[in-house]
Amino acid sequence: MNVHTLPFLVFTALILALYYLLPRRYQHPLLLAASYLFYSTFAWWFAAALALVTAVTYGCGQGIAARGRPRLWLAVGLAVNLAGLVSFKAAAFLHIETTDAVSRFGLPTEINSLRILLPIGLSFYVLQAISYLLDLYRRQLDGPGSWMELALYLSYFPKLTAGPIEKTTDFFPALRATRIVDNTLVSKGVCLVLIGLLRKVVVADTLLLAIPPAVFQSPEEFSSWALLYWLVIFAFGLYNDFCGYTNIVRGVSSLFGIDLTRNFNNPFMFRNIADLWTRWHVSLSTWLRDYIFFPLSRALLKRRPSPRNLLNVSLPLLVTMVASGFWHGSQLNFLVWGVWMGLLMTAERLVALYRPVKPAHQRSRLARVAAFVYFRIVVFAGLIVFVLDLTTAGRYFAALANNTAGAMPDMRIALALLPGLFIDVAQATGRRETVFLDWPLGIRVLLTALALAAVLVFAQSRPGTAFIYQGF
Amino acid sequence: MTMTASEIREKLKQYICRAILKNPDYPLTPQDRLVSGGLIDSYSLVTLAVFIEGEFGVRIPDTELNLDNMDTIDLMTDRILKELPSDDPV
Repeated sequence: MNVHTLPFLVFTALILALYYLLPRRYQHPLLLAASYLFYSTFAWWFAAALALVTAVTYGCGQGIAARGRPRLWLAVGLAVNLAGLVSFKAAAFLHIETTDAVSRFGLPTEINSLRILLPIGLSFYVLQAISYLLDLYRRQLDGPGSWMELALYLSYFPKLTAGPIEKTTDFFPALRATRIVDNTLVSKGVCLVLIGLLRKVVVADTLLLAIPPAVFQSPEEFSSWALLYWLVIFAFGLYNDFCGYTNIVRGVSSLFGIDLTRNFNNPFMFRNIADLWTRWHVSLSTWLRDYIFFPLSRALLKRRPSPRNLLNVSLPLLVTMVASGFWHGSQLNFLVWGVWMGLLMTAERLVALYRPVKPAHQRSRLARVAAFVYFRIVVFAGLIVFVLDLTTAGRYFAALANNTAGAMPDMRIALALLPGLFIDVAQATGRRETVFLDWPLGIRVLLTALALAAVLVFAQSRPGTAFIYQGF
Repeated sequence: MTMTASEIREKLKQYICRAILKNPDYPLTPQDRLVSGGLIDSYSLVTLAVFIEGEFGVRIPDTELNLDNMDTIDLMTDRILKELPSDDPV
């Protein structure tokens, strides 16, 4: 049951109705039951895996809180969670490799024994389980909380399949706080859901379905211009797909009175690579920063206090970005992408260490334009490696450089970008994601009607696609 | 001896201009947005955290090295003062 489909909207409406009919003490059990029911619609054993992770994490959390042997319980909890994540990622990698090998010999690949699925959302809730254990160990959480709170932290259905990855220090207090769902919160929720549906159904699906599959399989058949064009279309498709998902689930969660983290902030306006990670998939970047980059940097800086020491600069960045790559998948291309990002960020850091920062009015416009172009080239180069296996990525780069003759791509597809860009510009200039709620009533009614009509027409006219990030 | 807020601000300003911005003459004010304004990044936040720990004896946890606590010199000063012993009678 995907979050942009009619069954999910009906499911949410039913749970919302029950939620508001029930007294407060029954609301959490209802949300937990709804979350497991929702998860079971993908596969029953996904729910079993989640229950197992929850039980182990809760048990280890109790051990840490008891202060008997907290380090041992932390180690056990981390080991079990990481082992689960690594083994599923490795199994998915082996599955891909085995399927490739089998198909090379002309054998059918749809054999049940080869079908090893990564539970949807596992990569997201395992990171949250690790946060819980580490925050408890470092006493940043006021006690282990009840099993119900932990179970909801890991399973809360709006964020279960693809985040946002919530902080314990935000989510646990939110569960305990008095919940007042007033007109403001309902307006915000509905506005976010509508923006999310527009981004997913109208923008992302149009862009992603328009990309000829051969672009990423036989790039030699396309001109450089076409390859570049489809890469940009894919990048905006991916952004609207994931941002659309996040908007929908945050909007739904607002209706339950629980605020979830904003995951995107005009990512294509990034000033440099470090800035990109404060705008794209912010909850993952924050997790990696808080639990890998900061502790490792701090430990190295205390050992060798010089911020210019090459190891102090490069190691935390490389480890963090390789971890990010592995989180996306265990295939080699993700690891190469992680190393590429780590090296780019190391170079960026080294430049910053030696170049004085000037006030904005003294900075050269040409330098800013050059930086704008440079950062987009290196990030889009990384995207090719991120999306394709290494061999195909190499062929893609070669085809981009060769500039063979080919048909012009259908430029009309780019028109589908407009609603997404309109939302981005409005949010950036209004400095608020629900800035539309401040606009005059007539314009709001008109825009709502247009958005609803567009979503209905596009949803009716073709089959949609699943969210890309659910695959991680 | 307890430090005053203005002393903390001055030390933070000097460190940020000299060690992070590499420009001791940068006209930085206590309200300037450092992280959200693009003046400093995540790399520098951890350097700043280590400086604060060494200079003021205040350890700001990794999960609190964020906009809420570190975006301006004023916010950092407030966060440091929260941990420092106060001279005021309770």
